[in-house]
Amino acid sequence: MGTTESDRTGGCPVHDIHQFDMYDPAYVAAIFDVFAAMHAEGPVTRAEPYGGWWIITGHDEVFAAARDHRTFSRQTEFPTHRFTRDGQEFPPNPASAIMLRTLISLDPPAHKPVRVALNPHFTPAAIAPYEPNIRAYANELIDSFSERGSCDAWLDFAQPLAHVVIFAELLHCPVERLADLWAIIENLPPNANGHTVDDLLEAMAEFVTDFVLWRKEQPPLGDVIDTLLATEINGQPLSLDVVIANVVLILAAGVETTGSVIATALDFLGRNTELRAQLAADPALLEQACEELLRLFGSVQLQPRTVMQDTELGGQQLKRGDRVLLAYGAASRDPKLYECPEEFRLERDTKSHVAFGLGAHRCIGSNIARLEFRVALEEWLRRIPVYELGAGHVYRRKIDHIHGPVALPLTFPASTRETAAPAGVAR
Amino acid sequence: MKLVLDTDACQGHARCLALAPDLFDLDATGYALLLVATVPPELEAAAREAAAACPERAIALEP
Repeated sequence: MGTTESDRTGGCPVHDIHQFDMYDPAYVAAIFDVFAAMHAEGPVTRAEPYGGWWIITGHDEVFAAARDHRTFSRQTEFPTHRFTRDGQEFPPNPASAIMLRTLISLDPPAHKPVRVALNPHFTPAAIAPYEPNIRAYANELIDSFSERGSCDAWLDFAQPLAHVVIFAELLHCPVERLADLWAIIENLPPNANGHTVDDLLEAMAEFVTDFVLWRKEQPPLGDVIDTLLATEINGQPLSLDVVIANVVLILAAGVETTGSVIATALDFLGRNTELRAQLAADPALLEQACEELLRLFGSVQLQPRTVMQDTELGGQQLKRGDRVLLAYGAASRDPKLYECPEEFRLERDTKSHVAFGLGAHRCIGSNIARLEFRVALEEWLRRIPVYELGAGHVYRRKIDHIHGPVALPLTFPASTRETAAPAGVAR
Repeated sequence: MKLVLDTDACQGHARCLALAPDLFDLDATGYALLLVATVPPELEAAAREAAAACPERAIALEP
């Protein structure tokens, strides 16, 4: 396989990497070309917008920084949450501020009790029972468009599948409530920077508040919700607003991410039909193929940190207070580690990819994501092994740092439905 | 061959468990647990795979 990104981005446009703006559609569309240019210059690149950020792209440097919370604190917001593009700082909005008290933003040691309490819900053994249900959801979604011979693989498949897995399987939220959340997401008002995590969090908070208050009145299920309600830090239970913020975090971290990887993979396989045919003919290859796709297209491209003490990294002098973006998507394409990193190679050793991050904040849901990704592709390729990418293909990030299509129209030979008793997960 | 696990470095990715379920499990808090200290010869290849697969480089092999 020798397929690269340039067919999608329309060649390699010239971008000033020192003006890298993760919210500018031009940079977003060419993100992997931008990362390649940063790799060519060095493992740590200075970008000036939003008050100036260090972009860490080298695999070794990301490895070092992600695992050193004393030097690189996660008590940090994304650039647009605190800065205008020209670097003016503004106060955080309440939705953003409360996220600094959730699992993803706590530094060790405060991080550990919450993480340890939640971890058992995310182990391979805990999520193995999801598999038949994920398969059933995937088929029900495919049934909703298989006779039509066309769909939007993001809106009709990847996004609802990712929602229902987190909602129904992890959070035990009634499937009927899903439509309410889709309505919230679809009605997100665009802002100057496009949709951001803040907008999503704010919009979700009301929905999640209702859900958590309802769950408090239900018999306990011993799941993530009950664990969060019982978790203590230094002998103090988490306040209800922090519990709610953590549930919002789980939704934000578990839905757009995995859905985006699934959609990105379908997009990629739509343009790489030889590989697609190979995987459809031999689904046993999918486990390895999914790892290589995660290396290439892991959905979380960037994560913020703040420098807590002066340090040297990748030949650059970082000062206390400097802001940093760990470019996981770039580290997984570091040419020092991967030959022709932009190429999909099924036989490649992918073990060191960092699609799920590293250190204390590595993705807690990676086992769910891996299972969901593989099952989604298995069922898709079984049901729709041949398809064409349609017009109106929109490749941009809807939410900040997440990489993936927000419109993916496809056409394919119509086929009959398979599911006898749908659970109601299709839009 | 001996397995050495750096429990401070382990973050619970569970890749070792996926590749070498006879050598690794997860403890009650989701972090890796060694099932053996000395690797039987027939599992040495799996042990090498698991060590290489640890994203945090938390698994070492000693002769």
